[in-house]
Amino acid sequence: MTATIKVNGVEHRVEEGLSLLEALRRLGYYVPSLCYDDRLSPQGSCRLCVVEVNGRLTTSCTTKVQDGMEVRTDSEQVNQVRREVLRLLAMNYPRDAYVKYPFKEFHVALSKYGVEPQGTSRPDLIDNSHPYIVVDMNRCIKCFRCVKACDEVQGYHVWRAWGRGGRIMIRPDGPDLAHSSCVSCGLCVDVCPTGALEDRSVLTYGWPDTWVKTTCPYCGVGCELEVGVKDGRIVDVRPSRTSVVNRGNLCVKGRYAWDYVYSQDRVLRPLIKVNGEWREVSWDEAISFVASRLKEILAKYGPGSVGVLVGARITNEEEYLAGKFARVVLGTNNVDSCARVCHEPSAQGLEDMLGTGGATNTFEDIDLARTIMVVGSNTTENHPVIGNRIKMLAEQGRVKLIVVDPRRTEIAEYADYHMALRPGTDVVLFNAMANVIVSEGLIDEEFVSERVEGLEEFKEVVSNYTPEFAEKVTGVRADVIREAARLYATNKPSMILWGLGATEHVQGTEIIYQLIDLALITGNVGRPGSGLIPLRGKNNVQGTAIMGDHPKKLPGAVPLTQNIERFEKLWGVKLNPNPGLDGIEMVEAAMRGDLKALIVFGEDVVMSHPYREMTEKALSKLELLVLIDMFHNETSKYAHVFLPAASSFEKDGTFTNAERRVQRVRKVIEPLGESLPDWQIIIRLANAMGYGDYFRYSSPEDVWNEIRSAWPAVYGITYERLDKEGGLPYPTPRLDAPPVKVLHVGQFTIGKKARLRPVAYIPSPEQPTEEYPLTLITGRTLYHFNMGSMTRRTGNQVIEPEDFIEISEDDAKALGISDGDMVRVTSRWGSTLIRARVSRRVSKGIVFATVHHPEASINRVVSPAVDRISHIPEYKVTAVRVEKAS
Amino acid sequence: MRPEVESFYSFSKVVVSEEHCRGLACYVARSLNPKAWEMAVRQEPPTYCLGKCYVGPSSSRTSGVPHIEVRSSRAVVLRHIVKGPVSSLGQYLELGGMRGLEKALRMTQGEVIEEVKRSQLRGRGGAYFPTGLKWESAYRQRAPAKYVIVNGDEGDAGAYVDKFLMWWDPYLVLEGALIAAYAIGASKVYFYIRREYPEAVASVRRAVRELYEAGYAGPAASKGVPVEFEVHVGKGSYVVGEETAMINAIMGRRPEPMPRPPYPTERGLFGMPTVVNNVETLANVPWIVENGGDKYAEMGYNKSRGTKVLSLNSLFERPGLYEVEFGVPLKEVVYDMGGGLKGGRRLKGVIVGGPLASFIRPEELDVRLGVEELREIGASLGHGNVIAFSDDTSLLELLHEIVHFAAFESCGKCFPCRLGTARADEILEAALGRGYLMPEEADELKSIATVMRSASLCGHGQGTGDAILSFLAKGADEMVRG
Repeated sequence: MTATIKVNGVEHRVEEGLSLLEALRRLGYYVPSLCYDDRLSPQGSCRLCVVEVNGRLTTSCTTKVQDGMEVRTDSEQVNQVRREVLRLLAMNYPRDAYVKYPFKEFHVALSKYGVEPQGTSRPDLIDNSHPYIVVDMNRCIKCFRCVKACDEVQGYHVWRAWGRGGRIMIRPDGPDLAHSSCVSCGLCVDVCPTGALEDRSVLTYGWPDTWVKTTCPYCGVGCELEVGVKDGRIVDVRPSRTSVVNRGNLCVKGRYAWDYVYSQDRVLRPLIKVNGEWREVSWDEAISFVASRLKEILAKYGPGSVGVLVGARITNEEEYLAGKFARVVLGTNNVDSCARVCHEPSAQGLEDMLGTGGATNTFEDIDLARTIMVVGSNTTENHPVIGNRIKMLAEQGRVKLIVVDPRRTEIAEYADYHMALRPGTDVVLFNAMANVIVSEGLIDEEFVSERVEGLEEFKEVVSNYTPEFAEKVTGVRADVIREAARLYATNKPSMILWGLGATEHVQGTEIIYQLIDLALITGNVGRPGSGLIPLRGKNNVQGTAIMGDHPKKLPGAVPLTQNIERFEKLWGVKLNPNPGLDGIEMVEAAMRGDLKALIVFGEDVVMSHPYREMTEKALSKLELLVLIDMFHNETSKYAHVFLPAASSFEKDGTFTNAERRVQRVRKVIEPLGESLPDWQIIIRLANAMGYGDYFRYSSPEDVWNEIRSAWPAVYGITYERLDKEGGLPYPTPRLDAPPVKVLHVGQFTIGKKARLRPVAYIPSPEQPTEEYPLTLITGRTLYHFNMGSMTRRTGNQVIEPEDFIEISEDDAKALGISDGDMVRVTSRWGSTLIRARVSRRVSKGIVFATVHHPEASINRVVSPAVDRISHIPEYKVTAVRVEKAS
Repeated sequence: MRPEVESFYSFSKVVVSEEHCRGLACYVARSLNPKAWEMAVRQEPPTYCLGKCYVGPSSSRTSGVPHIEVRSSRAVVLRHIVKGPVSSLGQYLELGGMRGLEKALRMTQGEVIEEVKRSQLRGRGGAYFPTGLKWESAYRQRAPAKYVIVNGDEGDAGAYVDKFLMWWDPYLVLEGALIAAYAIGASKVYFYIRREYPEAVASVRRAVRELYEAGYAGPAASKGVPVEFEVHVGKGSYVVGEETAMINAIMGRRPEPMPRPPYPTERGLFGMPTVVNNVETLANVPWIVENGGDKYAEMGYNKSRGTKVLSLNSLFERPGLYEVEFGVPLKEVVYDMGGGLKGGRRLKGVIVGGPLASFIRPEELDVRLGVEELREIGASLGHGNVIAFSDDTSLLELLHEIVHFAAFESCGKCFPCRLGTARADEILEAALGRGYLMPEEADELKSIATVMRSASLCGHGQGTGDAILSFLAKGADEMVRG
């Protein structure tokens, strides 16, 4: 619906229902405002956006467009209000800030209306405590944007308004910002119209002269960033205001933790290890060394002796080339990605049962869900932009929330039902939920009869898992299981999102089957607001398998065995028909001496695989270990060659996020030193191996166009279209049609009907014993990402300098451990020292340790037990003993 | 309540043993007891109006009751308390109480609303919005819950009718609230009373208990309306009397006004349709339902129908509460009812509906009491408080007192009010020392006030702007020099 309005005598057609302020701005009229921001609810407090509507003064931010409105944006009455309010604001406002930063929203308005501030600053109003955010309250005009942004968008109450009238003070909820509950998302800085809250980086390096839109290099949410550049250097990162993914929001990692790019210890020249010492060499020397060693090993031991591991940080194009390199150049299917140690069960489970190994719905559907079940995900810390969105919906009563997690995480505190199960008993819990749905007749009969098979067998299996039985095994009260099951089954549409708490178990893939089963029997698939979304870990881990970084799958995530001919034709070579080894198997093969050479793209295998002692032994046996990375890590101790890779800010390409959305990665700055984008490194290696003709690409876009021909689901996605329309989820098979956002509508990818997969419970081998009485869960925190190789090289390290282990008050007391003590954690597999945090987030008998720092390296302790189907290690269950370190 | 929200209120943490009133009515009457006024000026934080304007300057220890008189053709609001306090539900019933409610319950909700619409009753809180339309709007909303808020935050200095209604006849107000709750289908009534009226708080609490026990209210009401009552007591804020600010206050948020639309009847307390009615408004309702809206509308003048209670300040010879019909000339109020000023003082002007209002000069007193009539001469009716002031108060001092109050009470949300009141206070403070405003100061004040009046978010800033402009227009001769 459009409305016709007259602005300053000129007629315009505008969208009805829009605020008048938005409408006027879209039409190009200048309407100043200091309290309005399109991410916040309008508050109508600064009164600068007043316009005349049919002769009456009104604030345009709180007025909706109506047909026939006559609007004046620049009458004398309007200008008088603006001038006078600005004059009053400027009376005590520091003049130097106005002169130095003329582009700030408030300063622009001042100069537009010819008002010059005359005030000065008091040094005691500046808070320099926070590593990223400088607070200068001399410049605070009490617009409340920061207060509202923190409250309405992020769901925190860091910024608080004290007092009233002219005595209002805006202060953080601690003695200073660094000692407040701030999660450093930077939204308050982004909304601040004056620079009272400002990024330290722009104060240090200056205001950017250009902004480049790209995609965040951290988690699978895939937020869009605006990266500010000055004199060829990144000086700031801000959220994209137009992104449908992050909607003008970011977390501390995407927003602030980018300085690793300039870290002093970044490797900027190729290295070869000679007599245990790294020696800088030229690219030519490094490449020809790797090529000749690979040729020797291939000649001596055959293609089964080499492997490629992809860390999922690189672009789709590079992942595609890495897989192609393994198959075409090395002749092996030994290629895998770090998805093996995080979400492979999710991709595998969804593909096995529904036919597509990806989220069934997009993040946009979160707003449409009436019930959300979050399983094994500390969402507000690990996928904060999505976590806070769910949290706010729950807080506002717009969604019912079920959280399944042994820990009382932040999101669990917002849940209607928090099922804090004993670690590793997920199968019993979900079977009990299914039991309730079946026994109480809550199955969606229509959906099931049309689209689901295997119900009888399923019913039989779940019939043994009564809520009372589940209560004994999981520790979750039977009535809570019942209530949650009823809610999920009846308050539809219901959506399930999960993290590694669901997958990193010996029955990880089967747990995903169970979640899909629950969705199928309640008709929660193939509908907006329903479905299943794995919250994938790394920026481009969704891309790995579909780009072919998988021992049994070719690009498009199609089975190797059935598609080999098609790819032989496309690539023009004979391909090895034997399925390869996955990441876990490659390390085992190295241990046995069967794998001799390994190329690793951006992963710290020593830190990320379980049972570190074994991994180190295995890697030390390799004849050639090539690391392609930005920094030395624990694995480089065993590497022979180190090739310096460019960061994602230094190259073009695409990432695929957790909702299957392909988004552009854009080159913001030139690669530092001699570092090269991974795609160029692969081409150089292919050339040196004599396969140059198969790797003739002049740009990532070239590679993408080959991917489009190899995989029909992305044929409709071109760089041109991504630049114009923004990210597009696959499948987008046609150039002239929109993407398919909700999968399995009317029909599953796998066919008309999906088959239920009942799962019987097999307890983890890691059961508590007298010697190892506690159960260890491992995971991440807000401030660090995975093995910390990036975040440890940023200000995040100042905020959170080391790993920690959460222990309950009861256990801590019994063991004589106080908060902050160093403790020794020991399992059957190893032992390490780590700092204790006595916490109410874990229950008695459970400890939780973070995984980010090589000093603690908790994976020394983690059990090597793996899932039967996809070989994911059980990072979430290890029996341990904790003692105060002497 | 979160501590930073608490910090909004003057008296969230502070306790003053004896509170001295710094309200405008006590200010203009300071010559009656200069010592008491000095105490008020020294008190920190200040207390703006204890509702004892008939004996001002007053303190929390001042006793005495006002003269109460009915001058309208029929007694409506003051019909009980004109004879003294109603001290129990039994006594209230004996006086004929609850007949309005009983009749309402025999009518449909629509019929009750229709009756109120016919009465042409307008909200006595100062905005004079038709009460029937407000109820109808809330009644028409489809929502899982609806609320009635009784606004007992009579903060306008000089007015004390609500105080005596709550204190002496709470049953009448509660009966009106029950009828409102029935009419719109509310499940809960919130009763917000300012902290400066402890007697009213005790009385309303007691009356609610009695209504619960007698089955007129409460979840198990047998002969009334099954609604819960919750009594909220203020902590020291003037702006909280604004209806959207009060909604925020009850929700535990900063009591700041919110832009409208949405109106509270669409999205109010906890996002639900909410009717906010002032105490005196509701005190009219039982009579209207019992006797019919037409009967009520027979009284009054022009667009202002029915009766209004006026509160006269202590500077009058006969201060007190007077129930009058709209249309009575102000002259009659000042000289006939009030009996002119005490001790032969010369009347310099009258502030009606203050403190954030224009003043009326003696030569303008022919004006008839009515919303539109007063508006025509640039004044307002507000709460019906009539504050007379005499020669010993200069206009500059008076305006400063008003603006100082406005700055102290500004919530600070909207920029024109937060910045404008503070700056105007600064200018007037400086002018006080010298005894007059310089022309450029007057110009700046005018500029600030014009913007406050036209662009402030709520009546606080708008009214302050009005007051400054009217003082500058009517009193420039006295106030500006050079």
